[in-house]
Parts: sequence; structure tokens; C-alpha cells
Amino acid sequence: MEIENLYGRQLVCPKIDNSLGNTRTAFQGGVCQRCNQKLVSPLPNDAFYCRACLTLGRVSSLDNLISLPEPNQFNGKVVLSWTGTLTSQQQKVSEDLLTTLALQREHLVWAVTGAGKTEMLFPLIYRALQQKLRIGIVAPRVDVIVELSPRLRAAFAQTDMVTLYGEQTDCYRYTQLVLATTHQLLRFRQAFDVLIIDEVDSFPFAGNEMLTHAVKNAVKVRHTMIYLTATPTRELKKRIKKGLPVSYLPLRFHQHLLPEIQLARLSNWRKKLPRKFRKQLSYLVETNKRFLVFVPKVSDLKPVQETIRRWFPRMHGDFVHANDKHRQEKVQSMRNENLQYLVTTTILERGVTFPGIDVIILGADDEMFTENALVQIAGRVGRKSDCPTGLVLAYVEHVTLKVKAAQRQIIQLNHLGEKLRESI
Amino acid sequence: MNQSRKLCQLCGLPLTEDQSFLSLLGIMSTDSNNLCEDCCNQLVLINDIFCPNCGRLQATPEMCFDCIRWQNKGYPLLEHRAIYQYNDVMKTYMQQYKFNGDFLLKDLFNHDLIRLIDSIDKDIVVPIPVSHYTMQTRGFNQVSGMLNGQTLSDILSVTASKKDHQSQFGRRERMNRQQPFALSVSSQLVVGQRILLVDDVYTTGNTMYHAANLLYQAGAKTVKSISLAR
Ligand SMILES: [Zn+2]
Ligand SMILES: [Zn+2]
Ligand SMILES: [Zn+2]
Repeated sequence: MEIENLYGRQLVCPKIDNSLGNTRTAFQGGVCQRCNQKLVSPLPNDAFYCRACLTLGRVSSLDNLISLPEPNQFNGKVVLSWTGTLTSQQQKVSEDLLTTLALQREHLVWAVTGAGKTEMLFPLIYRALQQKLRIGIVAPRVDVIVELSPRLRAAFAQTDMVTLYGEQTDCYRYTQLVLATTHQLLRFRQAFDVLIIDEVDSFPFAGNEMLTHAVKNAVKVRHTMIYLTATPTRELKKRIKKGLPVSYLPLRFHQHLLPEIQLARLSNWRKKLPRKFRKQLSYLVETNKRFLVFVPKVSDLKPVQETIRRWFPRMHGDFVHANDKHRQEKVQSMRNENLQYLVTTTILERGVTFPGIDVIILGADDEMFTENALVQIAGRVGRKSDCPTGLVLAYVEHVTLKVKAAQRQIIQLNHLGEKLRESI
Repeated sequence: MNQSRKLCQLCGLPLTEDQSFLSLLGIMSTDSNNLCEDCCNQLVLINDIFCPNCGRLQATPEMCFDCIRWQNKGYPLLEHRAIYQYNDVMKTYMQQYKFNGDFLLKDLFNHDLIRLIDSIDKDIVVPIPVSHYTMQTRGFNQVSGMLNGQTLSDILSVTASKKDHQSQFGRRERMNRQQPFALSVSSQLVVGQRILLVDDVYTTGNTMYHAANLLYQAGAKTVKSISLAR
């Protein structure tokens, strides 16, 4: 192994193998030293292994953890190949972030869906790269990382970066810029001077002890931490009240307001999809609109898509869920406009942009859709400046408080956005 | 989301209610109790037409080409039986249980294996061994792990101290490899015995025929073999 592949990493090495780097014992009092959880399962001969972080490759009592300190071996040469411009509101947020970097502290960016969060980060990333700092950009969901990766490659064409997700272990290289899922942080130790956590409120990160530990463990003692969200959790809102610095951006980059959630009643849709729904779809088909249909459960996907296919056999569509082997390909064909629609679970509620789509939610009152999930789903619509509006239609059996709250959240954000728009 | 719900041990998706119902009625065996419907459906039982000597699922009941080759080389045939076809879902199982070392998955097919072992005449049951290196890193023998409740005779050991996985070698190289096993007990314990060899997956037959050859040389009366997958 290249010695630099251990800089800021914490990797698993069998005790009987010779290893480079500093060695730590993998367990202390039954607590896994990689993920800080106490969830061991026995092996023969009094050995044991950690089941909490098993998906990243097993840590057992037969292993050690190895690592080397992060030396920031970078040349500081950087070219920003992005040629776009920031709106004045984006500009203001990006200045807040430069201040945060100078002060090495924590900062939250609360920006509506489609505010252009990624672009606002460019000045910060540019300066940090110049200062030879190591930067991690992470998100709980793989789709977010997959979509972010080409945009960062385009913006910093001269900068070497790796994108880490899933069970892949082969493509790691020592790079100044690292894109990864939050799970991958379990493989880092005091590596990052700057850590940016996108979609910080989303599953599986929010409220997850193991991933919270992974974040703490992956940053250096002195560090800058940026949280990004469109829909902060209650905990984050509490932290704002206690003084966590925050930048608000209630207006989308194209200055249009968020599409509001429209409600319609639909009962017993699992038994038989009603004519009302078919009529709505035929309207989308006639106007050649592309769309997403959100359903609460994995088991709803197939029947719903089959019905749509039976109704409109000439329209290309598919369904996708979290454990779908072809998930990335399907999302890509939707992006490429090779598919006219996707039936999906909440996995596509955030982080993905399909230009010019409408969104329909079946069973929006189901427990699977939280208030923030509904706001995120609505945020898939109208993201491009040439197509800034669209339909967000939520079918419910009962109008619940949660659905009402999601509607109200969007109305309130739009109210703030309108005020901001007037002030410019 | 309901956190208390049981998850499928292979794909991690929650188990449906009708499934617990099916297992309640005894329609599903207790082994598949921890698998979701999708994973269960993907398991392919080898119970119809297969090669009589290696247990491979095939269209005709005649001896397959590979087995004819073993016969031509002068090896006594094994009458190998496998329970499941080695397909994607079995690969996933082996990946998680054996290569990622999730020892908790050892019992998933325990009943299937014990049932097959019980149905075969033999004096002793011998698991294919793993190397010292594997015991020091993986921490378990994946075959013995699956055979909880069965009396085993650990009479074989691995001689070649090889770290490499078999899958790294090409087919020809695998066939040409030298005898990888040695007898770890006195051959008096083998003489006249009817031996049943057990492995996790039967791929080329190389492992089984090398082990069987050694046991015949030591005086075994008969050697048969089984595996979870083929
Ligand atoms: Zn762990
Ligand atoms: Zn499954
Ligand atoms: Zn055969």
C-alpha cells in the first residue's frame, strides 16, 4: 500500500499482517473504535466483530485499526473553471462562508430547495484549496453525491478528487478534495480541515449516533464545519436558537417562488387506482410533461407502475427504490429524458434535479412522508430558470396536520422570499 | 418508520406481514424465516434434473462433461449433491457470510444442510478445512459454521499456506494445483470409513476431488460429498 493512502484514514488490518502506519486496538471494552458503537457479535474462539459498521467491511477483535496523521501534502494551485455568476443573495451567503473559514467555526446554510447551494460553496472551496486545506463534502444519500460529483469536477477541473460511496474500496486515492457519503467518514480519522455536510437533516444521518461520531472523528481538532439544508430538523433549529451561526436564503436562484402543494382526495388507491388519477395523468401525457410519482412503500411501486403502463402503453417509465440494483442507471435515464416518468419511494425526495418535471404524491398522508419530506418532494419542481414552475399534487385519504404543515411551510418560505425579492 | 420490524438478512429490506404468517403456517421452512419474499423466490433448489455425479442443475440427467473428465482422469466419482444453484442471491449470501465475515448468517441454511446430511449413509462428516491464515483473519471455518448441531470430524488441514482466494486463479490453474490438503489425524481413523465431505460451494470439483483422493489413499471405504450451492 502507498503510505499516503493512510494519511487521515483509519483502515482495518488483520493483526497477523505486517502493517504500515500507527496501530490502534480495534475494540475497547467491547466498543468498536471505528464507529464507537457497542454492538458486537461472537466469533469462535472468543473472538468477536462489530455489526454496526459491518457494511464498510468487518472490524473484528482479530484486527487492528491503522492510520497516519494528515500532513496536507498539497500544492495549493487551483483554478476555478466555473464561469457562472452568483445572485446577490448567493453572494452574501458565500461571503458568510468565507468568514466562517477564517474563523474556523461551524455554520449552517438554510436555503430553500433550488437556491443553488453548490455554487455558493465555490468561493469557499476555492480559498480552502489555495490554503492547502483538505476538504470533505459529504451527504447521507448516495444520489446527492453522485449528482454533486460531476459539477465539482467541472468547477475545479485542475483539482484531483475522489468520490466514495457504497461498498467500493478500490478507488480511494489521496486527494485534497473528497466527496463521499457520510458512512464513508468511518474510514477517516482527523483528516479534514473543512467538512461540508449537505442535506444534513436527511436519513440516515439525522439523529444517527454512529454517523455523528464518524463526523467528529473525521475532522481535525481545528476545523471548519458547514451544514447545508432546506428543511432543518428540530434539533438544528434549537441549535440556531443557542447561537449556531446561520445564513438564510428563502429565494430560489432564478428568483421564482416555490411551487405550492395542491391537495386532492383519493381513497382506496391501493385497491384500484381511480379514474381521477388516470385523468390527471392523461393531462400530463397530452402536454408531454415528464413526472415523478411518489408512493409510500416499496410494495406500492410495481402495482402503480403496471397500472400506468397499462393505461399508457406507449409512454416510457420505470420504478426505482433504495435497494434497486439499477438505481443509478434509472435515475440517469430520467435525467437524460429517456424516461418520461419514474415511480419512486422517498429516496428521490432530495438531491436530484430532473428539469421541467411535475410531481404527484400518492398517499401523501401515509406515515412514510414526513412534513420535511413533502417539502423536499415539492422542491423537485421548477428548478430550472427556463421552467420555474410546475405541478405538485398530493393525493390524500385524510387531510392530516402533517400535510397541512408542509403546505404552510412552503407558503411561509414564499412569504419570506417575496419580501426578499421586493427588497432588492 | 417501524424500527422494530424484522429485516431480511440478505438484502436488508423489511419482512412483510404475510411472510410471518406463512412461516406461522409452516409453509416456509424456518431457515428462510429471515429472508424476504424476493430473496426467497430467487433461491433455486436443485431437486429436479441434475448431473448424477456433481449435482449440477441441467436439462438432462446424464453425467456432465466435467464429471466425464474426472472419470477419465481415473478418480472414483463422488455422487456430489448440492442444495441450491449458485446464482446471484447465493453469491450475495457467500459475499456477506464468508467474505465479509458476518458469522451471524451461519444458521440461515443450517436446517437444509442437516436434513441432507441425515439422508445420506456415512460414518463420519468431514468439513473442508480453511487455512491457518483464514482462521486468523476471517476467524471461522464457513463450512463448520453452517453445520451447527452436527458432529464433525476435523481430520483434514490445509497445507498450502495460501492467502489467495480460489477465485483469483483461472480455471486451468485451479485444476492443476497441487494437493492442498493433508490428514491431520492418524490414517487408522480413516481406514474402512464411509466419509461425507461438506463444502460451501462446489465450483470446479477440484477441492472435493483432492480431498477425496487423500482420504481414499488413507484407506477410506467410500467418499461422498455435498455442498450448499453448485
Ligand atoms: Zn463498528
Ligand atoms: Zn431479501
Ligand atoms: Zn457433473
